[in-house]
Amino acid sequence: MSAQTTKLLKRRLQECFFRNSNSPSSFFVALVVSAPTADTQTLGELTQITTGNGYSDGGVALTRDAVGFSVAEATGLITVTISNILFTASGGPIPPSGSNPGFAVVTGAGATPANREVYAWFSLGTPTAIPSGQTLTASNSRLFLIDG
Amino acid sequence: MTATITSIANATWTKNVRGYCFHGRTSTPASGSLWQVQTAVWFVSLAGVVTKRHVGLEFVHASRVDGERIDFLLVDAAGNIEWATPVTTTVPTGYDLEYWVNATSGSDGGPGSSGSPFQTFTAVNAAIRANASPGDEVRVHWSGETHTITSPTGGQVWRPYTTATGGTDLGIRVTWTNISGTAVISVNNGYGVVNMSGAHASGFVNDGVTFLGAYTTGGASVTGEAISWQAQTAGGEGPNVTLLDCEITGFHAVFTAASPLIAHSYVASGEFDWLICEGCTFGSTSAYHFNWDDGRYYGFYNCTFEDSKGDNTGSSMRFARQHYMSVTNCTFDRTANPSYGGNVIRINGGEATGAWDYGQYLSFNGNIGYGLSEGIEFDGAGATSDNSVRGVWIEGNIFSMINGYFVSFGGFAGTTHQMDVVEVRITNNAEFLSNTSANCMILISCASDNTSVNKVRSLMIGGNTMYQSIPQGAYSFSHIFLQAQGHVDNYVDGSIWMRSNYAHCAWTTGGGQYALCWMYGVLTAAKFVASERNIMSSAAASPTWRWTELIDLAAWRTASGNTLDMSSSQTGNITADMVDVTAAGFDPTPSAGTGPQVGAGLAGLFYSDAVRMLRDPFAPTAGSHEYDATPSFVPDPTFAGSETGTIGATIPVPTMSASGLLLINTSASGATSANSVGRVQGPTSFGTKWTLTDRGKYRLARLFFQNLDEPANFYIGLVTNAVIPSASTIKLADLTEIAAGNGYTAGGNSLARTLANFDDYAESIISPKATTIFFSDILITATGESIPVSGSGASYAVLLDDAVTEADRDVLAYLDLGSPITATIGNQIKVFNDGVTFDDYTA
Repeated sequence: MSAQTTKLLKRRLQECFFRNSNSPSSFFVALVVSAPTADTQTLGELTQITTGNGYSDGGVALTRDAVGFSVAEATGLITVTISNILFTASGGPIPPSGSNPGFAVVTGAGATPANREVYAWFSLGTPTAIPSGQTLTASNSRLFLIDG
Repeated sequence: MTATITSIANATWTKNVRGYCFHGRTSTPASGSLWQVQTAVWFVSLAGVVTKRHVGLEFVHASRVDGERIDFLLVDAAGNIEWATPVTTTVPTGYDLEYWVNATSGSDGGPGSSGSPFQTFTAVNAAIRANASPGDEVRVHWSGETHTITSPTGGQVWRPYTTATGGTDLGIRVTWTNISGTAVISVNNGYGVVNMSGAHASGFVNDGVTFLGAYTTGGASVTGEAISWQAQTAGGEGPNVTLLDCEITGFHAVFTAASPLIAHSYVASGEFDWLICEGCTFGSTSAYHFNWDDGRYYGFYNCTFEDSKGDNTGSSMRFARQHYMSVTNCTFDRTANPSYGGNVIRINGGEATGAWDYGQYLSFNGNIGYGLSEGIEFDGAGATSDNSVRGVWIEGNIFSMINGYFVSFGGFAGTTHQMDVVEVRITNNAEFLSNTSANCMILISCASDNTSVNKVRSLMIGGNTMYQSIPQGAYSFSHIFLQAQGHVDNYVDGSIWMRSNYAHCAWTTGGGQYALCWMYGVLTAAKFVASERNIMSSAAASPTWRWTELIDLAAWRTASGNTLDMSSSQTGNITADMVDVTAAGFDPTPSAGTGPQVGAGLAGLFYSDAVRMLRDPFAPTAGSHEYDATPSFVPDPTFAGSETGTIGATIPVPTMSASGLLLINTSASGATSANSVGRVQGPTSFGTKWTLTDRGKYRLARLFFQNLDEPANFYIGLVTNAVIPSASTIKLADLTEIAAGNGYTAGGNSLARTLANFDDYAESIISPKATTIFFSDILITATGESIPVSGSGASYAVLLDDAVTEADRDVLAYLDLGSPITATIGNQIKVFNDGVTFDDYTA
C-alpha cells in the first residue's frame, strides 16, 4: 500500500528549497473518509471524519523538525519517515458518528483546517472506527520514499 | 644498557615464565638496535666449562650446581644480539632455581632483582613487568603449566607500568596467550592483572589463560582481583580489555574498573571503553564478577557466570553508568549458592549525594539464569540525583527464580529522585518461579512525590510468561506480574504498552490468599497506551485471585481485552472467571466443543502469543488444543482490520503502516521542453535537463519536512569530465572543477535563492503529475582571458549549496554541457532555462 502525493507537494518542495517561499510552518495528519487525488489542494475538498472523543478538526499536529520527521539518505533512495502519530479515542469511539476513517492525509498548517494544503495521503485499509480507549498509532511509518 | 639475568633465590615459584616478546624500544643495547626479542641462548658453565646450552625464551634449569655461571644472549628479529651480564648462582637447599629476565632494561628495580617476583612483590611491584612505553605492545605467552604463587597478600602478577612506582601515561597493549595446554595462574590473594593509576589504562587481552584465586566456598573474603583497571584521570582512556575462552574464579572480583568517573562525575571526553568477553567462565567470587563505574561499548557473549561455590550476594554485573552494552547468550547459574543472592545485572552507582545511575542503549538477549533471587535491577538509588535508563531491550531471556523479581526499576524508595524509564522493552521473556512468594516479575518504584522529574515514560511489556510452581507465604497474593509503586503522577499517561503476556499458577493445594495478582500498585487505565490479551490461568481447583490489588483498573480491564475477569468483582473464583488453558480437553471454541469452555469475553485470549506458545507444551493433545484448529478466529496477532466483528468492540485499530513513494525525477522520458546550454558565442540547444542528485533530493526533503539545512544561496560550478557527475555524487570535492579565474570563481559563481532565479513553474509539462521549475539564464563571461584559465574545459554545470568550504559544497544537481567548453575572452558560457522536474514514482 503506497502513499500518494499531490501535485501541490511537489510544487511546495521546489518553492521551499529553490525560491525560499511557501515553506510550511508545521504539518497535520487528518483522518478523512474518502481518498484525495493528485489534484486535491485543501482539506476542505475532502470529507473529514466527525470530530469529538479525542479527534480535533484538522487532526494531529506534526512538527516541522527532526522530531516530526526523519530523513535518511541512501544511494537512489531518500526515505522520509514520519514520527509517531497517535489518535486516542476517549469517552467514546472515533468518530463519534458518521463514516469511519479510510484515509489519513498529511496537510500543511493554517488556522482554518479546511484551508490547509494537502500534501499526501495513505489508505487505512477497511474503514475502521477507533474504539474508546484505543489508540490508532502511526509508529515511525515510512511516509514517503523519495526515489530517483 | 645490557640485559641482566636475575637470580631468584628462595623461590617457591616452581615454574618459570614460558616466554616474553618485548618491543623493547626503551632499550639502548650496547650491540646494535635490539628491537624485539626473537629468541635467547642460555649458556651454563662451571669453572669455565660449558655444561649446558639452551635455546629459547624459557629456561628451566632444574639440576643446577652451586657456582654455575649463566650467560644469556638475546637475539632480536633483525639478528642483533645482546649479551646479558653473567650471573653466578648459589643454589638454595630445597628450592628450584629460576631465572627471570628483564630483557629491556636489564633491571626493574623491583623485587625481581632481589627475590622471587612471585613471592615478595608488594602492592606497587609486579612479578612480571615490561619497561615499555605507551603504544608499545607486549606479548606474554604462557605454556600449559600451572604457576602457583603461594603467599602474596598484595601486588600482582602483571602490571603494565613504565616503572615500579611512577608512570602516569599507560597505554601499553598486553596480550596473554595460552600457547599450549592449559595455562593456569594461581594468585591466591594477590591481583592478577592491574594498573593502579595513570591517565590511560593499558589494553589487555587474555586468550585462554586461567586465573585462580584463593577464595573458596564459605571461606574468608579475599581482596585480590583477577583484573583491575583503575585509570583515574578524567579524560583517560581504556580499558580496552578482551577476555576470550578463559576461566577466572576465586577472586574478590573478576574485573573491576574504577574509571575516570570514579568520583561519579561523567567525563564526556574520557573513553573508558571496550570490554569484550566471549566464551569465558567466571566462577565464585567474594564480591562481584564484574564491577565498574562507567563504561561504553561493553559486550558479553556466550559466557557463564557461576557462583556455585560462593556464598556472597554480589552481582554478576554491577555498574553505575553504561552506554551501549550487549549481554547475549550468557548463563547465570547460582543453583549452588546458599543464598541464591546477588543480581544478575545491577545498575547501582551508590546512594551517595551526587551519585547517579544511568543506562543507555543496553541489550540483554537470550540469556538463561538458574537459581536466582534477583534478576536485572536498575536501582535509581541516588538520594539527590536523577537516574535514568533509556533504550533498554530485554528480550528472550529465561530466568528460573527462587524468589525476587525478573526486572526492577527504582529498587530504592525515593521521595523526589528515582529512575527515569524511557524506551524500555521487555518482551518474550520467561520467568519460572518456585518456593517463595510475594515478588513480582516486573517491579517499578517511582518517587513518592509527584514533583519528581523522574518518570516512567515509555515501557513495552509483551509476550512474557510468568510461571509459578509453588506459591506460598503470608502475603495476600502470591506473585505479581507488574508491581508499580510511588506516586501515580510519575507514570506518564499512555506510557505503558502491555500485551499478550501470560501468567500461570501451578499451585493446586492452597497457601496464599490469592494465587496470582496481575498488578499491584498505583496504575490507572490512563497509563496504558495499549493493553490487551494479557491472561492469567491456574491449575488450582478453586483458588481466589485478583487482576489488580490496591489499584483501580476497571477501565483497563474492560476496555483493553484483558477480560478474563467477567465478574463484577475484582475478586472471583478462578473456576468461574478464568479458564485453565493448559487443562486436558480445553477447547478454545466459544460456543462448541467438549472441553472447558470460554465465553465471548475471552475471545482475545486466543490472540495471545503466550497462550499459543504454552498450550502445546503443557497440553500437547493433538486436535483440540491446536491453536489454528479454530477457524473462527484469525490467528494473526497483528489484528488486521478484517477481524472487525469477530472479537467484539475491543478490536485494536491497525497500526498505520502505509508507505508512499515519491519520485523526484529530473530526466523523465519524453522530456521535450526547450532546454539549452549556451556555449561560446551564442546558445546551442542540446535538449538536456538538470538531474537532481540523491543529495539534492535529500536536501529538498530535509528542508521541507524538517526545516533543516536551509541554504542561503546557491552556486553554479563548472567541472571537467575527469569525473562524471552522477546521482550518487555528493560533494564538489568528488568532482574536478575547472581552473578558476577570468570570471569563474572557485566553488562556483553565486546564484541567489530567489523567485527571480527559479522563475517558472508548470504542471503537466511531462506527465499529469509532474512539475518543473526552471532556472534563470546563467551567464559566465570570460574576462581578461579564457575560462578556464588552464586545463580541461567545462563539461558539466553543477548546482551547489552554500557550504563555506568550497570543496564541501553539496552537489544538488548537474547538467551535461556536451563536449568540453572553453570561453575565450569576452564570450560567455550560458546555461539557461533548464528545468528540474518532479515526477511520480512509477515502479
